[in-house]
Amino acid sequence: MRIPCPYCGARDAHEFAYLGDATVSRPDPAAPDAEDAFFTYAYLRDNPDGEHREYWYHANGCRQWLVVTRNTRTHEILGASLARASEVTA
Amino acid sequence: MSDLLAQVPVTRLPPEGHYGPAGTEGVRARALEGLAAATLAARKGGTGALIARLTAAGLPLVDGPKVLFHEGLTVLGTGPGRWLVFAENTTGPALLAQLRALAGDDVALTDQSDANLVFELTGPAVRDALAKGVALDLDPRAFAPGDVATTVVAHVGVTLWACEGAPTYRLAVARSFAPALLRWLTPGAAPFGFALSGTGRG
Ligand SMILES: [Zn+2]
Repeated sequence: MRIPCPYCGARDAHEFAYLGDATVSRPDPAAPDAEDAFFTYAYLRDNPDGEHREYWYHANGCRQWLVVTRNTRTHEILGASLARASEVTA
Repeated sequence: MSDLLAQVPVTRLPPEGHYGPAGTEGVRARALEGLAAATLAARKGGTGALIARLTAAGLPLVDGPKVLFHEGLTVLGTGPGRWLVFAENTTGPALLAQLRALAGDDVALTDQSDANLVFELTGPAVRDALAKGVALDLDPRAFAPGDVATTVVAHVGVTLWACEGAPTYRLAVARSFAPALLRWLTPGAAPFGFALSGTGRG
């Protein structure tokens, strides 16, 4: 499986570390339902069939976090972008 | 090939010399001595301004995996807003001062002079030898002089760049991992005839 890193180009998956679901975001800790929201955020995950957005860290390359769109059924990689927006378009 | 380095302690660089069939030199590797090195990193939000400033100073930085040569400096793109700089015939503190004068106060500069060893690899079979562990297309149509790749070879992280001239590469590796990397390279390059220099008696 090759991941098209926006900085480095296409690289083998063994250069990357997988984190998981990129669709969840950290809840507001001051919200009245924060306890439930954090439980959901930390522990509950869907198991999607098809396209999924997930974090991969390019540990053995540019050391950037990527958001990779992957088809969970076929492992086809549909795209990758820097998790942190690029400051400069090269 | 497993006995090729049997007499070399695993913690030491293989000694300089010729490995493999006598009379052939398909691959040559040379450890480069006396390089100073530093990382140059833009502050958050400062990449564009840094590139503009250095471009105005005659160093047209690129925010990508490219190498630039400028007045004795080798500037390698290693990540967004981040570069690794090597310089010959100078010291770490002098390099930091030179980069500080070029880049101004609003960048992160760190002396890396004792962090890396750099090897120059060349010879008609250098790509065949590297192909045994570098999972990149090194054909010049895909990886031309001026291109840089930070990648992993035999579980060791390296930054590799293509130089001008019939195939020539330079490779930076964290110094303490260099013995492991050369224990990968030496048996892999030896069948082509491998001339190693710059490592002394190992
Ligand atoms: Zn990358």
